[in-house]
Amino acid sequence: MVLTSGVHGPTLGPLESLIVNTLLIAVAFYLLCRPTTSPRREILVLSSITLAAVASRVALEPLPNVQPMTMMCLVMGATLGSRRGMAFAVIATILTNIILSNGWWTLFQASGWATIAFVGSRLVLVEEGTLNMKKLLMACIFASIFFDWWVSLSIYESGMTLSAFGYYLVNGIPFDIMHAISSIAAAVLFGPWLNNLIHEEVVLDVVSKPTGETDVVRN
Amino acid sequence: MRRAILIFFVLLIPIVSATLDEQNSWKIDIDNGYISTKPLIVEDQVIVRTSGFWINQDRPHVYSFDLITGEENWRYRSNNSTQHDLSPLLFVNSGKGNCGSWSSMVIVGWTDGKVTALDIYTGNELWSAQTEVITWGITGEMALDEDLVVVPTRKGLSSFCLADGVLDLRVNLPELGWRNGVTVTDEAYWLGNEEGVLNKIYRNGTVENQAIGVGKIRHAPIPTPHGIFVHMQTDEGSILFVGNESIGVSGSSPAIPTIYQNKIHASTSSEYLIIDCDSSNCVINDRISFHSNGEIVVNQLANGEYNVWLPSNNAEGGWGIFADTSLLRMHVTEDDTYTTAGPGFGKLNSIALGSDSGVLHVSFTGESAQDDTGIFETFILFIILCSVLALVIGFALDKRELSQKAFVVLILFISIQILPQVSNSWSEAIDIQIESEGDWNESWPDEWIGTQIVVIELPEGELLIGGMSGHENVEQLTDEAAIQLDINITKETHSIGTWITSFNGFAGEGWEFTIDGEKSPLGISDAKVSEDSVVRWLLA
Repeated sequence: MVLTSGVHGPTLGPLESLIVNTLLIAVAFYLLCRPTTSPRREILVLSSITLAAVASRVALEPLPNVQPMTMMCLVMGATLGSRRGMAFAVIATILTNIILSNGWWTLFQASGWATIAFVGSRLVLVEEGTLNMKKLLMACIFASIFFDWWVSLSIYESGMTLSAFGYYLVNGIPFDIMHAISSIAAAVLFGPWLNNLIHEEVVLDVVSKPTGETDVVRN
Repeated sequence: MRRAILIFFVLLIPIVSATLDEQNSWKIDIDNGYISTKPLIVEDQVIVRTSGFWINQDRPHVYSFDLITGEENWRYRSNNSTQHDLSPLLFVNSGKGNCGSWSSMVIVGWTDGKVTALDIYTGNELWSAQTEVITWGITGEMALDEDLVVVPTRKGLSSFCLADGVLDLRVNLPELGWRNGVTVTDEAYWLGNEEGVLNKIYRNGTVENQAIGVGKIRHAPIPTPHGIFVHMQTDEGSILFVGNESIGVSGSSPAIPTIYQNKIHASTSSEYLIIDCDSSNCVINDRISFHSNGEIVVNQLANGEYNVWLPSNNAEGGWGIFADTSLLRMHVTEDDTYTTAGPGFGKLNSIALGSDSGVLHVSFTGESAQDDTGIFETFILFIILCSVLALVIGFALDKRELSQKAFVVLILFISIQILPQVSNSWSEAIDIQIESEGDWNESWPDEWIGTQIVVIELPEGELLIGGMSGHENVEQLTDEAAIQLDINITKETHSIGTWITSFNGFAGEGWEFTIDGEKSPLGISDAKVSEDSVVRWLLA
């Protein structure tokens, strides 16, 4: 529903684009600047996966509404936490839309995927380093439909009736289903691998460095 | 690691294919005036004509170039044509008819009144015929009628045998024509002119004509299920007619419209119009800001969809490519300027483009995408087959993980393959559902079902009357409703029709109406209603 050419909604002028981009970059910066104790390896992995997500989204653009980003946001949120997951969503959206096409809809896409990453961090998709596939698949279905309908709001303009907007949403249901199927496929194909990668490279890499009184054992 | 390398190479595929696409293209500066009409791509050659205002020894030509290499095959020079030649080239396949047999040829109409048939392979003149010249000769689009070529001449119409150019029919008309193409239907030939007269010329030479407006008809009239479509140029802009009745107005200098799948694509200096002739009348469905005055060309894609190309007739030039109501992109070349020539499409996904720059561009990267789509679909089928194979192997070797992954890939790519059809069917089903709902309100009495209903939305409340029948248009039905509701209607009549200015003395910013929930482009006297229509009056 959201990737059909020409139905993204209002295009933006240079000033509006600047405002949207500045807002998104500020959000990403805010999300990344805390906590300050993140190991460098985590940042490296986050950056690498973000670039991979960008490349995959650009490469898969000819396939209608095939969006592995949705699954990635869920897993990133579940493994790295809400802040890192949301930052991943925002940065990946900005970078891909620079190549695909940038506009008003970028705000909705970034916030949609950031919400999905946040939800992913709260759903306990990863338990003791293992991905709960059943939960992930269910989350993928709901997240895909949520994302499409959320981004569809970008075409809502003043003067558009609710029934016309509803007609637009209903028209896009085959594309919503396509998105859900592609998210399930991405989860089955790459979900465990992505989770293991992050878990091995980041979570296990975090070694506790106790200091001060917390390290003192009182007898 | 292996998986990462595989992904890397998969990502490279689009980059590599784009590079290959760009390699095969060529251009040639013909240096002989403008290219005002679309080039033809016939088998392995591109045929193009030039136009201009010629003095001294310069004259217009028809050229043939090799499609792949751009090498010139042949050229034909008109020795007497000195005005702008705007009649599109007409390709005719070899054939046989009552008047003889003929080889493949390209037929050219000239402003010196000549019609020449050129051998498609050598450019040699096969036959030539002369028509009348009044400042100009032939400027409109010719058409085929079995073994005849029908030619719109400066002041009439002539048809010639394709085999030898012998005159078959000559009809003299009182008005002059310019760029007035001819249309052939089973019933007759249709031809407009500079006086806004639409001529219906039977094959026995009988002429019926009707002045449908004050203006100029400068394109081949288009038959629709609801009558002949004409986009008339007027002093104020343009008017669109179907069956001699106006369906709307638009900007100046109409382009040459075309019809495809019951949708007419028209344009002016200000907007691109899409007219839907599927319903009970032709209705202007969409207006998109664009400047085109030339040949509009529909490009059928291999996947069943199509794009519409509009030459942009401003200093920047280029061609706007539209799908549905969206401008997909502007197709540009490095020599763009004012353009009226549509694109020519041909084999190997080729596109031939020309403009007032007089430079012919041929590329193999275009939007017809027949080969690209083929590759894409082959790729999808290949993945599906691999998935099936992996699924079978997974089951045979009891590899559960492999089976699972193969299964989801299979489902994914089958979904991708069938999505366009599913999406189209879904949209059509929704459209039908919405159309059937109309403007009916469930709270209305059941006795009103199947009758004519009028709703008037006054500021103090809604006036409603139903159970009426037998009224043919909105005006009649509204008059009857006003009588039954005991309210006053004020009307104004102008040269372009009658409209209602107030109900019960309330004028507001004006009144507009819908029929079954849809706005009508017609006036109240022309807008037809059916026996179960709901006419709703709303404040503008």
